Amino acid sequence: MIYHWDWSVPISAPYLGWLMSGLAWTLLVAGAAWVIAFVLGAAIGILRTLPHRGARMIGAVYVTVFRSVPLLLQLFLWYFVVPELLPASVAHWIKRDLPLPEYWTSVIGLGLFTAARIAEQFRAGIQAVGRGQSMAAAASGLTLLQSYRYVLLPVAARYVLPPLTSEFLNVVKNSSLALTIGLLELTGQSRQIEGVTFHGIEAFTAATLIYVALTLTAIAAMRAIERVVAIPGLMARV
Amino acid sequence: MPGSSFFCRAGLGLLLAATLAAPAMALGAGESPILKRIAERNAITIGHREASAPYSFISREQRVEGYSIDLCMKVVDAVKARLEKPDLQIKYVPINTTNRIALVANGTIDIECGTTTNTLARQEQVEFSPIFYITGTQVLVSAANSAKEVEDLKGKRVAVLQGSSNEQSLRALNDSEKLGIELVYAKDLGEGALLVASDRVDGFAADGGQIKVFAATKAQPKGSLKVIGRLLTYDPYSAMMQRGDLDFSLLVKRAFAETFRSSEAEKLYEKWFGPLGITIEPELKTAFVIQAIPR
Amino acid sequence: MGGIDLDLIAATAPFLWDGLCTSFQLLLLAMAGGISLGAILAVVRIAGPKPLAALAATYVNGLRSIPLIMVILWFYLLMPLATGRPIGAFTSALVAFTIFEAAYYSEIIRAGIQSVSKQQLAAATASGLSQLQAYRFVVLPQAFRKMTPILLSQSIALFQDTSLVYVVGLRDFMTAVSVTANREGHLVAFYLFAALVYFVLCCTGAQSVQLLKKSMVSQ
Repeated sequence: MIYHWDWSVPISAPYLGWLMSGLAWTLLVAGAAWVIAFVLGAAIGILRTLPHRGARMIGAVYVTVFRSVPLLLQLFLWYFVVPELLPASVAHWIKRDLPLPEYWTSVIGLGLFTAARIAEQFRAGIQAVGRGQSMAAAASGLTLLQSYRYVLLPVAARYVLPPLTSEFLNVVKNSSLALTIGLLELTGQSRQIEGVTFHGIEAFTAATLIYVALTLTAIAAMRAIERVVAIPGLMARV
Repeated sequence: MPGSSFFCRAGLGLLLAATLAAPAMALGAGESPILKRIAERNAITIGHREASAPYSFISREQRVEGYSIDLCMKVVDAVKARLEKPDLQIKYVPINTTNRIALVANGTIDIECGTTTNTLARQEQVEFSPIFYITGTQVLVSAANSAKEVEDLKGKRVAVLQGSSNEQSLRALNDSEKLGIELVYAKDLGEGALLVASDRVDGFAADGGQIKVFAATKAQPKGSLKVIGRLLTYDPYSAMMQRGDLDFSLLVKRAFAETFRSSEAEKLYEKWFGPLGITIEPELKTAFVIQAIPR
Repeated sequence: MGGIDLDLIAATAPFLWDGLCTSFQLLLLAMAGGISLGAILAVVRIAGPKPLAALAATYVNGLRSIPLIMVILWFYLLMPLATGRPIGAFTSALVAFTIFEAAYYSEIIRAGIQSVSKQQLAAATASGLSQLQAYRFVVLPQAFRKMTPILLSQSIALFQDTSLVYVVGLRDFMTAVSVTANREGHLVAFYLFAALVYFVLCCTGAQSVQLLKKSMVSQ
C-alpha cells in the first residue's frame, strides 16, 4: 500500500475552510463551556469551604457525581436521555425550537463536567490560603461574605490560576468529544476531510498542529495574566 | 575467527530455512499480498457493521450475521480452498461510515461486508466486488409527516450518516436547489432512525432498502415511521477490499459469479429479506444474471 | 423508550460483561505501559543529558496539548497508512493510551521524584551506587510510595477515558452499551444503566484511594 501524499489538501479550498470552521466550533464550544465551568465551578468550590454542613454536602455530591461518569457518557445522557425524561413540551423545545441543539448540548455537558474539576481547584485554593487568614478576617469583624470577598478569594484566585490554565486547555481538548453527538468541530472536520479526500494524514496533521498552537497561545496568555495579577512578595514567580 | 564462521554458518542456515519455508508459508497465495497476509496470520479479517440489519449486524446472540456477511462467507470458502486451510480463522472488525474506507485501505480489514455503495471516486482508494444489492437514497420520516419528497423538508433538520453517499447527494441537492436543509450527523442506522423517532430531526436520509427494513421491523410503536421520496441516488452495494491486488480481486469476482450463477445469491436474499416481507426486485435479479460471468 | 424487561437484561448481559472486561484489560495494560514509560520520561527529564531531557519535555508537552480522541484516531486509521502495517483496534487503542497517558503519568512521577530530598540521591551515589542504580533502588521506590494515591486517581481518569475507544468501535463497556441501546431502541434505560455502572466503579475507586491516602498519612 503506497500512500499518496498531498500536503496541499489541508490548505486548499474547500478543505481549509472546513478546518477553519472546525476551529471556530472548537473555540465556540470551549469558550461557552468555560464560562459555565468557571462560574459554577467557583460557586461550588466556595460551597465546599463554607462552615455550613449542608452547603458542603451539596458541593461534595455535585463533584462526586460529575467526576465519576465519563464525559462521553455525560454528553450522551444530555443528548439522548435527558430530553426523554422531561415533560413533552420542554423536550420538544430542546429538540426542535432550540437553535443548534448539538452545540448547546456539548456546551452544557462539557461545562458541567469541567465545573466539578474547577470546583476542586477553587476548594484547594481557598483552603491553601489557610485557616489563619479566615479566622483573622472573622476576628477583625468581617462577615462571612466580606471575608470571602476581601480576604480569601483574592488570594485564592491567584493560587488557582496555574491549575485553571490546564483546566482551560482540558476544555479545549475535551471539546473534541462533541463530534460524537454530531458537531463538526476541529477533530470532526479533519475526519470529514479524510472521508472525502482520503488524505487523512495531512488533515489530521493540520488539526494536530492547530491544537498545539492553541495550547501554546493559551499558556502564553495565562502566564501574562499571572504576571499582571501577582501580589508582590506573596507569589514569587520568575 | 571461529566466532565469525559460526555466525556465517548460522546465517546461511537461516537463509536456507527461510527459502525453504517461504513457499510453504505462502502456499497458494501466489503474488497476492492479501492472500499472503491471510496465510501468515491463518485468519481472514472481515469488516462488518454493527446495526445494519439484515445486511450486516450483531445479533442478540452476539454473532455477526446478515445478507452481506453470508455472501462474504462464499469468499471465505474460496480463500480456504485456495490456501488449502480448511481451519482458517475469521476475525471480525466493526466499522462505520467514517472509518470503513480507511480501514480497508490501510489493510486492517481484508474484506468489508457491509452496505457500501460502489462509486468511481471510492474506486480510486479501494477495490470493489461485483454488485450484490441495489438501492438509492430515500428519507425516513415519522408517519405523521406530510412530506412526499425531500424538497418538502426545506429548511428542516435531516440526519445523515457522516461520510455516506447519502450525505454527499443531499449536500449537493441542498446546494443546487437552495433547500436550506440542516444536516445532522448520526453514527449508524439505528441512531439515525432514533433521531427521527425521538423527534430530534424531521427526516433521516439513508439507503432506501435499509430504512424500509427499519420502518417495517424496528419502529416503536409499529407503523410510526415511513419512507418517502423518489430515489435520489443510485446506490449499488459491493464488498470492499484493498486496491492493487488483482489476484485477490479475481478470487472475489469468481466467488461472487459462482454464487450468482448457482442462484445461491437469490436464496440468501430470500433468507434475509423474505421474513421481512420483501421480495427481490427485478433489477437486482437481472444484475445477478448479468454478473454471473462464465468460468 | 423507557421500560426494560428482564429478558432483555439477561439477553444482553454477557455482551455488556465482555465489554466491561475489555475496558479493564485496556485499563490495566495501559496503566502498566503508561507508568513505565512515564517513569522513564520523568527520570530522563530530571537526570538525563540535556538534549534527551529536552526531547522528553517536548514529548510530554506535545501530547498534553492534543485531544485523546485525536491520538486514538491517529493510531487506528493513519499509522497503518503511513507504515503499511495494520494493527487491530485493541492494540492500536492500547498503544494510543500508553503513549498518551505516559505524558500525564510522567508529570506526576516527576513531581514525586522532586519531592524526594536531594540528600537521598547524594547519599546513594556516595555509597557507591551508579546514578541509574540510585534512581532505581533509592529514589524511585520512595517517590512511588508518595505518589501512589495520585497515580491511582489518574488511573481512575484513565478508566473513564477508555470509553473514548467508542470512536474506533473497539467493543469496550461504553461501545457495547451504545451498540445494544441502538439495536434494542432503549437508549434511555441503557445509558442510565451505563452511568450507574461507571459511577459505582469510579466512586468506589476514589473512596479506596482516599482510604489509602489516610492510612499513609497515619503511618
